[in-house]
Amino acid sequence: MESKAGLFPLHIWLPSAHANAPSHVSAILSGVAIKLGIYGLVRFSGWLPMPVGAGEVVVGLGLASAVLGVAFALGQHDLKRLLAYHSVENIGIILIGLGLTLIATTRGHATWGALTLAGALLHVWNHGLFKSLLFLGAGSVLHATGTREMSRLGGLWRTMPWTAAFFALGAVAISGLPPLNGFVSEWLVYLGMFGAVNQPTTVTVAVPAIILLAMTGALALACFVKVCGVVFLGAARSPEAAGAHECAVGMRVPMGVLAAACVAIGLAPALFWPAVHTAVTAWRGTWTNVPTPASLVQLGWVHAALVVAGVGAAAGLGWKARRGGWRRAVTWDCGYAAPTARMQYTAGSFAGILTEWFAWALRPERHVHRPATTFPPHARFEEHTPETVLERGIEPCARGVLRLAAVVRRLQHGRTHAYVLYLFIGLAAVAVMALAWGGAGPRTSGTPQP
Amino acid sequence: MTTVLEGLLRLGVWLLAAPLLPGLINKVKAWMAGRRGPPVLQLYYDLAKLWRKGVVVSTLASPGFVAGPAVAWVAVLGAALLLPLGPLDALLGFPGDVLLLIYLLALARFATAWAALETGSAFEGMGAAREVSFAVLAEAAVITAILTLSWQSRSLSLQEMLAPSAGPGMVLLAVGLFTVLLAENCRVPFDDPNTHLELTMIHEVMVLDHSGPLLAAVLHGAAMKLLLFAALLVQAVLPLGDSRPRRRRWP
Repeated sequence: MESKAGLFPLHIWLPSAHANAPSHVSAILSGVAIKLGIYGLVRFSGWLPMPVGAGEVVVGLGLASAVLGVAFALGQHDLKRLLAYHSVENIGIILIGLGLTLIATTRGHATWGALTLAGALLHVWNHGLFKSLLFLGAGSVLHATGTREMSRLGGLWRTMPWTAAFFALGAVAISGLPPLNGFVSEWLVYLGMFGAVNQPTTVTVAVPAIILLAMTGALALACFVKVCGVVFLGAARSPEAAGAHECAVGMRVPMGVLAAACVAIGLAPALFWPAVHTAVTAWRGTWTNVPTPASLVQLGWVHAALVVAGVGAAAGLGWKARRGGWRRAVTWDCGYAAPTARMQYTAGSFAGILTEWFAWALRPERHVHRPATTFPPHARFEEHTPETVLERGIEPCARGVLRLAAVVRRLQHGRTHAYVLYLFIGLAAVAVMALAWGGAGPRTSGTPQP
Repeated sequence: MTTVLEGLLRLGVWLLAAPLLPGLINKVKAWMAGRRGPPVLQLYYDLAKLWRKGVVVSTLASPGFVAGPAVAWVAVLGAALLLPLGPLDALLGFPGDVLLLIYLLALARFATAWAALETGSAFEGMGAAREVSFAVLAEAAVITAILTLSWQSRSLSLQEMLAPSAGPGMVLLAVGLFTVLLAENCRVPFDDPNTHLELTMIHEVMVLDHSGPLLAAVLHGAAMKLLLFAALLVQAVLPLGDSRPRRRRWP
């Protein structure tokens, strides 16, 4: 089930599968199909007796999945692979919530356990919504430009304003920022975790979980600023990107529906609480008297106020800027004369600081050709983050097993007389063993002694 | 009615008082260096001047270039309104508001970095990259401070968390929050608000291409953020709040 969900060390199949599928299929795979693993875990953990320490293990796996998933996402240059790694991250967040709930059930702390479970289950939904939205947006980009390579994109907002706007909304949602749905579910998980901090038996799990979840949020924000900036903003980095076109209405409508759902859960979280509450009580029948967190209503109001104020401020500032004299000029930037698209910051450079921090896990492949002489003829720097677990961990082991198997294979060559020899050697070995140890041991059974 | 009036009053205080703090800091810095320094109200003059000016926008920029500073400003203002002011309650307090405050500041960061990337320049990309990268550590530090306060007060609303003093751990908490204040508000040694040279290219370099009212929004937002962190630090450390149990004021 954890392999299906794409949890960290077992996620190796996920990035390639989700990146190479057609984009609308990726949306279903990442948004819906991997949740079957979560469904199985939630279902079985609900009624099977859980061994001691199961919750701690799930939290630990969830934390590893969340932090390393987003770290690997930062190292990607392929738009859809990057989104696929974010699924690993979000599955991690869901499992942090679920694991804490398991701990809560073994300790009998219903109040915060219900909150972490509610947050995790709502995050299942939320991730389905915004990840599908992002994959559809990525598909629209792929359809328009024919490439998923972020270093060949850029400036797409001009030709694809709808896709850019929907993708930006999805990016804000997946980064867990208010006023959208991603924040609501992460906030519920946080509320539960802060409840766990106040119990002496769970504080040691909750404290690192909270700190790492906060770091995951900040890393996801960094990653999505990178994606939006490199793909949709700035100048086109290739002729394909310059000649992009907006996707058809049929592709825009599903994105619009998903975006509307993200906004709806963000603005009126209390409306969706009954559904979450039903799921929580289905998981544990005794948790029926979990009240609606009163602050959920207030959070909805704050989100609505934020949207109104943000739109108002943006409109006002735009109006003021237009009225006071509006002039377009080449990017100033301390005196650029003729900037080109190649002078922009790239995806790799943007994530460089963070991938350097995580180089111990990412093990990026670097090809460096440093400038040498006074007038260097050329210099190059390439960096590529492989699927490290697969390429550095599992593949070498699998190759070792294959080599060993090839050696053993020599014994099986199809000559029957040799097989008879094997049989004879085997029988002789058994006979020797029986004579050596069988005779010396005490007689426990057999014919009764006269 | 009084709630609305009080809200407007608070809004006015935050909007009007915020630009004073950078002026005071600059004055003190100038005194320490033996200079006379700019007037304390310099930022007010700058904002008034910028607000009247025209705008020059990069040819590459989308409407998000204008929306970025606006959203960031609103997010910081929203975060500021969640903060209680000493013995006065917050305008709106509920369990978990502290997390909303942290994530509103993250929203401001997203909007600012987005606007920086609009111009398609290496300089501003570099600044945005540093901003979002350093924020990973700053956010971990802030949430750890919040954890301390929450554990101490057994509560998750700012009003109750900030009411008592942080106790003997006060010194450590103050050092941590002060470091975050420096990192988040482009202060030495992380950044320098006076220059945008390569060594100090974080906040200042992200807004290189903003001009006129857009730059005014950015500068005013930065001043509010500085005041917010200063208020948070002082209230976390000193027992200024009203720790009596209070009635909920939400309708």
